[in-house]
Amino acid sequence: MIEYVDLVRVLRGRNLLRLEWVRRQVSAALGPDPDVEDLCTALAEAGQVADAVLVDPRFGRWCSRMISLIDRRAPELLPHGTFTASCAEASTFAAAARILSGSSMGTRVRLGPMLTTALPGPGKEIKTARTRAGSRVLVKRASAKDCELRDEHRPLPGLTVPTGQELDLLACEDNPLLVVAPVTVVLEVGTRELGTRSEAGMAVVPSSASRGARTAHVLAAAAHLAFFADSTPVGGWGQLTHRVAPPPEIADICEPGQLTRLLALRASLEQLDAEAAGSLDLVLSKVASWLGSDQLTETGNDVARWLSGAGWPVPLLSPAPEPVERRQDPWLSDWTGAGGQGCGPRPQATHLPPVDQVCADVLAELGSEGAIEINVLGDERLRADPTFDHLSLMSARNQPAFLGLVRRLGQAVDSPATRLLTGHCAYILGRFEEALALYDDLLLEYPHDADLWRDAAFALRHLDAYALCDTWLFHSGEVLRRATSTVPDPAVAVALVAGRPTAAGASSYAGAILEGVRRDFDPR
Amino acid sequence: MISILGDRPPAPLLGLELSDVLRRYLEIRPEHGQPICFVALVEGLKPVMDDWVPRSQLEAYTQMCEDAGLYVSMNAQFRAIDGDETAQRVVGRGTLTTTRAYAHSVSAEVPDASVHVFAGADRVAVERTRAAGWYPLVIGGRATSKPWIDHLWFGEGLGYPACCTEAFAMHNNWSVNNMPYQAWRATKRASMLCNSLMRFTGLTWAAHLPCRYDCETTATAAAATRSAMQRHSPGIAEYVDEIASRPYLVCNEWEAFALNGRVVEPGVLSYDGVTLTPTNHPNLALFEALSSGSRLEIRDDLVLVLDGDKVTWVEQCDASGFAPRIPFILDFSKAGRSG
Repeated sequence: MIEYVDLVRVLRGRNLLRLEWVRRQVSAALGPDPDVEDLCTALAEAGQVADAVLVDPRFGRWCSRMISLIDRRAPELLPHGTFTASCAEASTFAAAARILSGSSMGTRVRLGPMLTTALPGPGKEIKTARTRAGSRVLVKRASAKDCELRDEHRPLPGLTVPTGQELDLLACEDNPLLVVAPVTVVLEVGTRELGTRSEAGMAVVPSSASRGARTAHVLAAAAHLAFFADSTPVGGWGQLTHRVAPPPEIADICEPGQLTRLLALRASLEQLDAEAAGSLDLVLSKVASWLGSDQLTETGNDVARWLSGAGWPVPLLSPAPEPVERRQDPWLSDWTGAGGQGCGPRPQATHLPPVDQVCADVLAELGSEGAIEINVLGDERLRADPTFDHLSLMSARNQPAFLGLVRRLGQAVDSPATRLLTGHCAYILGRFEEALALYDDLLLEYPHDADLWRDAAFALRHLDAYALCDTWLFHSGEVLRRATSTVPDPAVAVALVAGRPTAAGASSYAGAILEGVRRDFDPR
Repeated sequence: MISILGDRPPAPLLGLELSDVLRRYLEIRPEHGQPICFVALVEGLKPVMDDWVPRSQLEAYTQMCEDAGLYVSMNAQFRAIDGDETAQRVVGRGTLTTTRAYAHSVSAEVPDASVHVFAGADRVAVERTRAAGWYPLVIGGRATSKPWIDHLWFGEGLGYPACCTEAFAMHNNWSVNNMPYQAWRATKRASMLCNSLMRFTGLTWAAHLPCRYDCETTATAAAATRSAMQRHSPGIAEYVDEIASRPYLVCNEWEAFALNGRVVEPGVLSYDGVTLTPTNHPNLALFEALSSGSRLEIRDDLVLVLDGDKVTWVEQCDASGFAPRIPFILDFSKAGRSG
């Protein structure tokens, strides 16, 4: 069942709530901000006539920016610069609300860095000299002291027509157009019929959105466009069908799975003017080259083949792997010869969960609520386990709290998670042998965890086993290959490296595996 | 010493009056060296320093250190990453801040690489610092990392004051914070002894990021180093005094500019010359604009560059992303105060 809602009321209410949240957060952190407070006053006094300000996309973006800054602790950490300027930007909306309401009260508007500063809502902007950037100007009764206050004239942000002509809002078609750019935007156009009134909408929507959602976005955008085009109060809007949030700003086409839609789109553009088709050709060529250079995430070759078949060859399609003569790995032979067992691919644990509330509470404090993630080097993160760095910071910033946490961990039930945290604490306290013993023990059970190997390697480093730490740093792939293709067995690992000059630290499982790699790859 | 662009580069250091030991150092490290740290080391004012020595000079460097009574230990080889585009393809690129280099083992034959060495009078101190001294270098397309606590131990090993390493622990987070800005906030009266903004040139009295630009512990240690340097090379000491005593426009650790001028009022500076502080991510456009201006004004997030009454450049500094930029003036001149 699709729910009908009044978009204007939704936007108005949403942005008022966000503004109030911002006002309270700033006030709590730094005391009331004069510009933010004045904006709230101006909107309250203007009433519904100021809706044009509240539903302007720029007001929404300002709210988002303020919320992001507050989430990043800007009032506490970085109260100057961007934060100050962003608070001051509230003055543009306050002035806009007063213009709409015809108020005689003046507003000291902070000018932006450009030659014009918009007053979103009434379609006005202040034109000024560059020397005034960042300074204040008094705006009163639709005039600005020593500056020109004029009607705003600028294209809708992010929405340009491929032909370069001004868009005829009444002549839109319900077909998507692709904007000239690096592949970042899908532009949808459409119309909404409301009795005798026809409104055109344009919206930037994710390429992955369904047709229904795209249509809803376009219809929602009609409200924005009407406010831009006509500053008279809105009435009799009727209702819209949508189940999604207000239109997004920009869409990134980053999944080649969407290319099938782009290819269909290209076929449908045959009858449109050459420039629109040419824009899409450019985009598809770019996507083909990105696919070829592995800059797009795609697991299959189907899309690459479709692109190539449609005339956009993917330049570096990975060739099918040559069949490799199966040869016995000499190291694996040594391992099994010494009594160890090899193993094939097997299900691997992905997390180290706590087994009691003490450990669970500690994990929550250390940014790993629920469990500690194991790092299998499968994504762009360097590290999956944040607890070590959190503990390090805690020990540096609040030593009593850190030592208290160490005592609490001592009360926890033994588990892999507890042992890992205890190992980290031992490292931080300079007890590297203890840390190594705990990491080593865990590696027997989780040999696929790259974070554990890193931590063991650096414990070895602090025990003067630099060569073994370097082995992890320079040959981590080989270390993990050996560790995960065998059943961990410290006796076998140590036996394989015994009896010859051995690097310090090679008496543990981790050390012995690293020593074996060191000898084979960097014997000097 | 890294090349210094601007109105006040130093004279070629080897052409100045130098003590024998300092001359020997500069003959081995004419570029990208740390002459002041080295003098502090040989004078016993600094426990350990780390340095980057071209492979071809390694033997000469080691011999020089031995002759000066210093023990030397080696870590890895650094090879600089060429350009921003390459850095953007590295997994974990967000951790590459002021160091952007590939790592190679010491034994590898790598053209254009330098060996990372640690030197000091006390072998135990050197090895302890080396253990904590791994950098976030790139190996196999991924940045490497060490336990965070090692950063703190490294700073302690290099002789950084406890208050400054504590400030590092509190504020060194490039995602949401800006260390020079935090130090500026804490400063009452900036001292040129604490001015480490040009530290990548090796020509600063302090080599670390101070907790504040009037940190007493930093200033005391720097004063001792300065006295020593005046004996080893009066010419270098004079240059450092001059460049460290200017007002600086600072935006973050990557962007700072030494201006030959005076602060007219808070946030307003009148000048007739500018020198760029070298980093691996300088703002050359702003530097160029400043080079042809005579006055700058800071208005919250904006830096206006003026030539006479005419605005020639407006720089908007964004603090909402990685490496937040906040413009401020640090006035290290005798008459100055921060603003």
